[in-house]
Amino acid sequence: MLMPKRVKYRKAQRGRMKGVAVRGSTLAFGDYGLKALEPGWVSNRQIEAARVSLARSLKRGGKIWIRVFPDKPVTKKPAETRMGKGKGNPEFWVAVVKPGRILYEMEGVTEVEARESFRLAGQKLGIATKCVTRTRG
Amino acid sequence: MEVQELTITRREGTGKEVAKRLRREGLVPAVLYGVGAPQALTLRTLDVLKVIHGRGGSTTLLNLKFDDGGGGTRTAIIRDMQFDPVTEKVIHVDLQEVSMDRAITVGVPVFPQGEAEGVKEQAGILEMILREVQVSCLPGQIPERITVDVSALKIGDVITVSMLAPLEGVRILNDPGQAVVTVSPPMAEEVAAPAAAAPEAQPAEPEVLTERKPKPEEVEEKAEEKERKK
Repeated sequence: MLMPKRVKYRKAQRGRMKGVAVRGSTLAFGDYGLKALEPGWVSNRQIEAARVSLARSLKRGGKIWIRVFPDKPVTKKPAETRMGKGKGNPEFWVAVVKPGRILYEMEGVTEVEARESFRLAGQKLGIATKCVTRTRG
Repeated sequence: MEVQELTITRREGTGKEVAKRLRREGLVPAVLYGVGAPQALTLRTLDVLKVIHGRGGSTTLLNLKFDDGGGGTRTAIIRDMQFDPVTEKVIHVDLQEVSMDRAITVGVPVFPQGEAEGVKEQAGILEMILREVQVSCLPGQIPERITVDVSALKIGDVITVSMLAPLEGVRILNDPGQAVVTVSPPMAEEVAAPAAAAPEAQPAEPEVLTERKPKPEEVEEKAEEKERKK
C-alpha cells in the first residue's frame, strides 16, 4: 500500500478541507479520469482497492495513473483507553482530497470501458466521484 | 483557415461580485488584450462553447464585433480559458487581439491517425506523450490540428517532434527530440499475493527525519546507571 518512505513528523493535525482543488484538477496523462466531487480523506487502502478494481476491469487493455498520494498520517487511540495521555499512534495514511481533484487517469480503452471501470472503482472510495473525459475534436 | 464571428459586450464592472452575477445570467466575463489597453468584456457562454466545440481553443481565428456597433471589427484568438474544477463550466476567457501580418505563438493539438501495428498485433497501448505542440505562424496560417500517422508504430517505437510532417509557413517551437507518441507494452497481469500474508502484514513506519536520537554520552550514562543498579 502507498505510504511515504520518510516523513518530517510522525503525527499530523487534522486540518481543514475548505474550497475546491486548484491543482491537479485537469487531465494530465490519460484520456479519461475519475474526479472527486466532494472533500474527504481517501485512505491508502481505498486507493489500493480502487486501483486493483481498475486493473481487473481493464485486464491488460489500458494504462492507469494514480494522481493522489496518501501523505497524511491518521492516529487512533487503542480501544477502551481513557482520554488524555497524549495523541494515539499512527494507524493509516490518507490523501486529502478536495472537490475537483483528479484521482485516477486512464488511457488505451474505449469511453464505455473507462466509464464502467471508473464506476466500479468509485465504489471503493469514500467520496462521490464522476468520470471526466478530455475534450477532443 | 476558418474565421468565426463572435459578438462581444463591453463590461463596466469588475471583481468577483460582478463576475458571479454574469455567470448566473448565462454570460461569461472575458478580457481582450494584445493591442492597446486591456478591455473588460462579456460573452455569451453558448457562443464560446460553439467556438471551441471540437477544436483546440487557440487555433480558431475570431472576428469580434461589439454588440453596440462601435469599435469596428477586431481579429483575435482565444488565448486562455478557465474552467470550474468541479462543474467544468467556463468561468473566464482571455482573448488576444492579433495582427494578421505578425507571427504569433499558439498551441496546436496533435492527433494520431490510423491504428498502430503494436496495438493491433501486439496488444500494446498507444500513448500520447505530447498532445499539443507550440507553433509560430501568421494568424491566417494556424493549422486546426497536426495529424501523426501512427500505423507503422510497434511496441517501443517513438515518433518525435522532428518527425512531424512540416506545414508551410508554420514553425514548430518544441524541442525536435521531444517524444510525441509511443506504443508502450501492455500492462503486466497482477500476480495474486498469498492471501494469508497480505492483510496481516503491518507496514513498517516511515523514517522520521526530526526524531530525537539520543546522544552517545546519554547512552553511556544510561548504561552506567543500569550497571550501578545491578
